[in-house]
Amino acid sequence: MSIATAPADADHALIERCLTGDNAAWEQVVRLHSRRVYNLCLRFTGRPQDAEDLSQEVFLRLYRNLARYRAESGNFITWLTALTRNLLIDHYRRSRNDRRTDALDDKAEAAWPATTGTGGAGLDHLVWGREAQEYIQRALCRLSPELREVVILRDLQDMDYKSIAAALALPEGTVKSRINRGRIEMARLLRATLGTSVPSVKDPASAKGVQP
Amino acid sequence: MSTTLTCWECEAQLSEYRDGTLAAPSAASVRAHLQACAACGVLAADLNAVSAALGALPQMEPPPRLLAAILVQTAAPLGVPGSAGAARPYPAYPAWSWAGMRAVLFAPRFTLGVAMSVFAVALTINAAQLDLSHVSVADFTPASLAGSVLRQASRVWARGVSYYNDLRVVYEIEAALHQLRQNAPSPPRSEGAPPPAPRTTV
Repeated sequence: MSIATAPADADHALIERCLTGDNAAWEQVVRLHSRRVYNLCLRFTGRPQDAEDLSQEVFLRLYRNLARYRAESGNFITWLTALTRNLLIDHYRRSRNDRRTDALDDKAEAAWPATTGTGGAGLDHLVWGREAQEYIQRALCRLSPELREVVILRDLQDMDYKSIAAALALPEGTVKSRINRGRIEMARLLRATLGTSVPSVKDPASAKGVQP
Repeated sequence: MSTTLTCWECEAQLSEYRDGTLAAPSAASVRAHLQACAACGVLAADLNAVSAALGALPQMEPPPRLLAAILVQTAAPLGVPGSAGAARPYPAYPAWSWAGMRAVLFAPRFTLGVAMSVFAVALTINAAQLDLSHVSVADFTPASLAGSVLRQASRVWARGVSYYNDLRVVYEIEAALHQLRQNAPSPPRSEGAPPPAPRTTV
């Protein structure tokens, strides 16, 4: 799911036009990037309403800080990602208490299948089906925010290690190890959840001798 | 030439192996380990599946109202100092232009401020019992102003003194009554046998 990113020069030119008061340019910036920001927020929070509110906040802050972007003048996508991520982390901290109370409710209505966890098949069948997407989103939301953000940026937003490191202001080595830990944790969560309860599309023989 | 890895070393490089960012010798080491170790092989397959599944999650289209809401909130002019999007309701005007004055005068914040000031002044005048209906220009000479201020001050002082006196009378009466009540029941009691212990009445 790679996202076509406008060349950096085009972004710079657009921002320059915005700063001269060109409304059309600003609208174009919003159109070009709102999908990316919205999806980042949606996958991080797992809630469409939160994603909408946060995206709105991101663009408001972007609008007020366009001049600062021009001064710093790095890659626009990296800069926008950093801004979005900071708001997401703020939101995560703010809503920590809400989540604690929600967790009890969720447990009651949780549609997670019985955790067999014995694992016969691999997780290859995950790509298919709406239900599988639900599981993946839930597993994603159970990752710690540090792991969640890098996994989303790498696998959903298709950013390379270097850009992620720049956006999060982290050393590249840290980003690499977090991505690895995040993916392994996701695999562990999904395997514990799905186990053998969802039939594998692939030939089960290929996953013989599994000892989780 | 590939070196033999422990499972732990292999696990730490699985993502880079998948993403193709490992140097050729390291990649060969990981490949060799995965072929030899069933547990790591399964983990690698799971990790690849997770990564692929995440990549296959559909990109959601933001609701159209999001775009509209963003554009509405950022409708204020940009690039003019003093205006930063929706945070400031006043558009920036050149200093002391008529348009700028009008914008300020008709702003709800300003109007409310004026109304509150008038209310506060009226309240003060009312509390000080000033009569404004007989004010003339002659009252604003320094002498008459000083005179009226003095008059007001002495009136306030006199009122304070009489209030204090009233209070004092009330307290005196109350104290006298209290004393009477204390003294009234004591004679019959003191007639009996000498009290074992002196009673402290105060």
